[in-house]
Formats: sequence, structure tokens, C-alpha cells
Amino acid sequence: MMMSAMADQLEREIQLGADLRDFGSWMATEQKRVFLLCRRMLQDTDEADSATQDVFLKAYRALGGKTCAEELDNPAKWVTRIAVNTCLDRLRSKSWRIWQRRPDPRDEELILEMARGVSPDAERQLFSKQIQQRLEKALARLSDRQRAVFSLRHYDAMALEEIADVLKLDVGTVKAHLFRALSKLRDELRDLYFTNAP
Amino acid sequence: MSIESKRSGRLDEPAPFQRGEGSQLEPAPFQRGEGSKHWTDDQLIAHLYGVGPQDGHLECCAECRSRVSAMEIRRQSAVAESAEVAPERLAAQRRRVRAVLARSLHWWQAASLRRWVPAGTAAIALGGSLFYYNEQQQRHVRDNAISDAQLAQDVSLLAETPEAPPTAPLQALFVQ
Repeated sequence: MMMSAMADQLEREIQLGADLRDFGSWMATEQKRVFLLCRRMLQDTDEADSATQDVFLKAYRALGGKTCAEELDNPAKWVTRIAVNTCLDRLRSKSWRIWQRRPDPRDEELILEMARGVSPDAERQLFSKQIQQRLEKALARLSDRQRAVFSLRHYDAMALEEIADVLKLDVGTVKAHLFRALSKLRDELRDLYFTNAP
Repeated sequence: MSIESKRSGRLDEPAPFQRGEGSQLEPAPFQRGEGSKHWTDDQLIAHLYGVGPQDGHLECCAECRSRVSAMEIRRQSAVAESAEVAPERLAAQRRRVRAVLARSLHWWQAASLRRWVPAGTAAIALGGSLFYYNEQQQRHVRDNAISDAQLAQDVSLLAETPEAPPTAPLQALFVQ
């Protein structure tokens, strides 16, 4: 009886280890994309760190529960939906914003690079990076939904129908959000696409 | 060197995006060069993001097509450039997630008897109730028990009572 209980326990331990390993390897494939999406939506690296962890914890627990098999046909889309919803929840709570106002470490990085960038190639890279950073900062001007839609379209190259599916919105609504986002980001996008680097 | 100063002179005042009739989202009308029917920069951007005009212009204009292709390449390279994340940061995230999961799962497994908790609670409640009922019954019997001597005394008291028994009036009718 005792031996049987111990064997069961050992089996469970082995199963747990295998589950975590499988989950860990899947997480590694999706993690960077999820983190970047969270960072763009939350506009804060540390907050994005925490949100990314939340996303994968939720995903793991959902896998153990009654997750619809249809959703798991496309795990990337499924985890994207979890990420977007997690970020929207956090943005709704907004309590974290009290202490999030502090200098962006990327600004310091850029200043350092400006100081040492001398070659034309370095200048071009710096210019490109400047545009990127301007665009990412400009995302703060968008509403939460507009930011989600634009990020999924611009950075993840998702089709409008896919975005609508992830956000549970009509395609028309997605288009309206995207249209407004493009209007607000007009200057940054023009610089990105039509201004030549030195 | 600021980005603002690098803006091309040909992008004068940007034409605002305009809503078309009904629910259709239509960018501003063509503006680039008199007589030419090429799409404006704004229209190209809108097209790149899937909300551009649906007039079939791209199918017959190689120049606009090539501009859209160049923009798409630019978008992809820009996305790739902005996707730099320190691997240490990602590794740290994975470690933290794994630690939380392992902790919570071990706790849950240690409490694998959890599934028996409702049944155990019900059994204890039922046993307690039975015990209490049994106690109550025994106390009741104990309280109502009388000894033989007490019974004999009660009977003799009834026999000696001077009051007429309830049946006496009826018996009197048949007595001569």
C-alpha cells in the first residue's frame, strides 16, 4: 500500500517534470513575441516582464482546465489573445502607472549610441533606431484598442480578420481602430517609410 | 541630427485621411502630381495596413506597386530591428514562470487528499449527528425509567384512591 503510494507520487513527479519541460519549450518559442507585444501595449519594460509571466501562467492553468480544443489548434493566436486581454486588464486598472513614470532606459542607450556613432553606417542605424523609438513612443498616443490593433498589424503582420478574431471584434471595427491609429501616427509612419537615412 | 529636419520637402501638408460614404474608410483623394493618378503617400500607407482604397489602382500601376513592396520590406526590417530583447531577460522570465508553476503544482499535489475533503466532512457530520441522536435517546430513556418499587407504589396508590372510577356510573345501572 505504502509502496504503491510512493510509486504514484514518483510517477506524478515525473509527469510534472515532463509537462513543465514541454510547456517551457513552447513558451520559449512564443515568449519573445508575447513580451514585445506586452511592451508595446503597456509602454513599460518592467510591466511587460510581469505581464508576460502572467500570460504564460494563465496559459498553463488554462491548459490544465477546460480549454476549447478549437482554440488550441492555433496556440500562437490563443496566447496572443491571452496577452492582449492581460494587457488591456492591466491598462484598465492603471494603478501601476503611479510609479511607472521614470526615465526610459532606452533613452540613455540612445544617447550613448549617439555619442559613439561616427561612421555613416552607424549613423544610418542610429537614424533607423530613432524612427523606431519615435514610433514606439507614439503608440502611447493611441487608445488601448487602437494600440492593440496597430501592434498586431504592424509588428505581427496579422491579417485584419485574424486581429478581429483575437480581439473578438468585427472586421469593420478593427478597420476603424486601425484607421484612427494610422491618422495619429501619420508623421512617424511617413518618416519610417518615406524619409531616407543619411 | 533630428528626424524632423530630414523630412522630404515633397510631403508638404499631409492630406487628412477621410471617411468615405457609408461605413467605407477611404483615404484622401489622389494628390501626387497634377494629371498623374499615382497614390499619395497616405494612401500607400493605408493600403499597406489593409485600409487603403479599393480602386484596383495597384493592379495597373507598376510604380505604386513597387513603392508598396519597398514599404513592406522597410516595415519588415524595422520590425526586425525593434525586436531586440536581451536573452537574459527572457531566460529570467522563464525561470520565474517555472518556479511559480513548480511551487503551485507541488502544493497542489501534496494536497492530493483534497478530493476526499468533501466526503470526509460529510461523513464526520453524519457520524456526529448519529452520536448526538443516540445520546439524546439514551438520556430520554434514562430520565423516564422507574424502578419496580416505584411501580408497585404507584399501583397501590391508584387502588386506594377514594374517588369512584370513571366506569362506576355505568356499572351502577346493572346492579340490583
